[in-house]
Amino acid sequence: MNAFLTGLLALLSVVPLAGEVAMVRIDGGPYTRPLEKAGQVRQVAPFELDVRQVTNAEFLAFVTARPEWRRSQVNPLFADAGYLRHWAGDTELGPLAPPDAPVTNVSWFAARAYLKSLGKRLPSLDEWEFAARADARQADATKDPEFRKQILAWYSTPTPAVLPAAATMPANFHGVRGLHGLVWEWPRDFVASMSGGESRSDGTLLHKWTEPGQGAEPSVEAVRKAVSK
Amino acid sequence: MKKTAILLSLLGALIPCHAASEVKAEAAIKLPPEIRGEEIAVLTDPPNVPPPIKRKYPTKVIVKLEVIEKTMRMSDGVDYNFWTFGGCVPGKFIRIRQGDFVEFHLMNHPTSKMPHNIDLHSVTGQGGGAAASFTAPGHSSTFSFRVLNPGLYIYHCAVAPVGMHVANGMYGLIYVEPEGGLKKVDREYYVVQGDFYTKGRNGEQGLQPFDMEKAIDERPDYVVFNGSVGAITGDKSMVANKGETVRVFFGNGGPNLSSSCHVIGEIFDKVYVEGGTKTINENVQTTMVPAGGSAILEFKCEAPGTLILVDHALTRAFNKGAIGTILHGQTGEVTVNGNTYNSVMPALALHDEDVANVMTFVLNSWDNQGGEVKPADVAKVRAATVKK
Ligand SMILES: [Cu+2]
Repeated sequence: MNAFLTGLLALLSVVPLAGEVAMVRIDGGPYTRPLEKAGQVRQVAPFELDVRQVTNAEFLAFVTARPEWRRSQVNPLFADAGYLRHWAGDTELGPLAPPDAPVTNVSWFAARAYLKSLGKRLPSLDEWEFAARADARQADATKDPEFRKQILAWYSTPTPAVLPAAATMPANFHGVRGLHGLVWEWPRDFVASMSGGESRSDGTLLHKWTEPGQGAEPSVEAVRKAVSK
Repeated sequence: MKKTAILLSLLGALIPCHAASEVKAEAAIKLPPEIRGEEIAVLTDPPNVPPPIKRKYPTKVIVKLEVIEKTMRMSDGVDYNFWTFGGCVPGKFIRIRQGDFVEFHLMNHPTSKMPHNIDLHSVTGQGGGAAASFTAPGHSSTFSFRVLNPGLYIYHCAVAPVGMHVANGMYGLIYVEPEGGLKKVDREYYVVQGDFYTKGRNGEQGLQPFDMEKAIDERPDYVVFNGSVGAITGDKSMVANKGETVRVFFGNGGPNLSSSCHVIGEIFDKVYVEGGTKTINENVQTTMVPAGGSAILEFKCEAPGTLILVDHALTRAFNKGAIGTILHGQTGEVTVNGNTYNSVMPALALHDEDVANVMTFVLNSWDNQGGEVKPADVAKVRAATVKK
C-alpha cells in the first residue's frame, strides 16, 4: 500500500502566505506536459514558489512542534518505514542530515502537513513542471539538447550519502534553486503523471486525480484510493 | 489464447480460480499439473548457473530480486554507475521449471535514484510483468505468474527511458527448464553480452557517465560480456577439462547490437536457436543472437585450455591499436617506424604469461631483433605502471 510514499523525495512549497523562505512569483502561461500528446496545451496560472527546498532543520522544527509527525509516532498510513530514515533519531538530525540540506525520505502526507502548517501548499504537477522547464538563461529550455543532457547526467551520478545545502544549488531563470540535480519532489497531484508501471505505453501516464479535500487531513478512504492507483 | 497469465495478485491462493475460469473459457485447453510444495529460488551471479532442476512436478517458486544502483569497474581505471538486478551485470540467473508458479518480489534499494520494474520475456501479458512491478526506491512489489513456455529468456527493466535503463546493465536471463530437463553436461555457464555508451572514449579513465546521444546513434564505447572488459578472462575465465561437455546460457542484453556469438577454436555441437526448444542446430561456428534474445550453446572440449568467447564482429572484440602497451590500454599518439598513429586501444585483462608470450612473439617477428620476455618481467612492469 505504500507504493509511492518516500524514496529520495523532498518537497517544495508554494503560495500565498509568507513563510521564512523567500518566494518568487512565476507568471505562468501555456505549456505542454512531457510525454503528453503534442498540441495538448495547458494553462498554468500565476503562482509563487519557494526559492529552495525545505531543509532538514526546517522539517525538524515542524516535527518538534508536531509530535504526531515524528518517525516513531507517525500513523503508518501516512508514512512508511523509510520515513526520515536518514535522521539519527526522532528529533535528532545526525551526520547524514545536515541542517541546510534538503529534507528527504518525506512522505507525501507529511510534506502536505508541513506546508499546511505554514499556510502553503505543494505545487501542482503542472506548476512544478512549468518552473522546472527553465535552465539558467531561458524560461523554457526543453528543446535544448544541452539541458536534457544535464538532467540525464544527474541520473548517471551515484547518489551521495550526504546531500549538499539546498541554497548552494544553482538558480534557474526564475531564481529557483536545485529543481534538477538534487532530489525528487512531491507535487500535489503526483499520480497524475507518475508512469504507473508500463511506461512504454502512454496509457498509464494520465491518471485521474481527486484532491482529498483541501484543508482537512485525508480520510483513510482517500488514502486507499490514492495508493491503489 | 495466451497460455500464461500474470495474476496481478498478492494472493497465491488465486491460482485455483484462475485455472477454473480457463477451463470454462476453452474446454479443450490442457491444464498444467497441480502445483506441489514451495521453494525459494537459488539465484546466481554470472558466470555461474544454478543447478539443474531435478523435480518431476511444478512447484511454487519464490524469487526475490533487488535492484541496486552501484559504481563498478567497466575496464581498468574506468568506472561506471551500473543499474543492476541483484548487484551484478547481467543480473542474477533465475532457473525454474516449466509449469512452476512464480511469486516474484522485486525490491528497489533505498539508495536508488530511479524507480525500476521488470519485464520477463518468459511471461505473456502485462508487459511481461512491467505493469505490475513498477517500484520506487526503498520499496518492493510482488506479482505472480505461471510459466508454461520452456526456453531461455531475457528479463530487463522497462522504465522510461528504457534504453538508458537497459544500457546501464538492467538485464539478465531466466531459464525455464522443459519437463524432463536438458541432457546432463559437465559444466554450465552464464554469459550475457551488452553494449555500453560512455561520455569518454574507450579507455578514458575515471567514472564515465552514460551518453544518451551515443546510445541513440548506436555508437558504443564498450561491447562486453558480463558487464565489464575482462569479466571472463584471466583468472575469471570459464574453464573446462579436456573431454568435458559445456553448456553456455548466452544472452544479449543490448540495448542495440546483435551478437555474432563465437568461441575461438570451438564448434558448437548444438545450438538451441534463439533460446527456443524446437530448433536445435548442429555444428555451428557462429550463431546470431539478437538484442533481447538468447541461445543455448553446447560443445565438447576436445582440447584442454581456456575458452575465448567473442562477438565475431571483430572490431568489437579487438580494437585497432599499437602493440606494446597491453597492460592498461592506451589512448593517444603512438609512433611506429616513424609514423604516428592515434587510435584507441581497449584495456585487455590478460595474464602476465599471455602478455609475455605476445611480447616474445613481437620481438621475434618482422624485422625485430629477437629476445624473450618472461612472465616475471611483465609482473615487474605491471607493478611499476599500475599506480600511474
Ligand atoms: Cu530500471
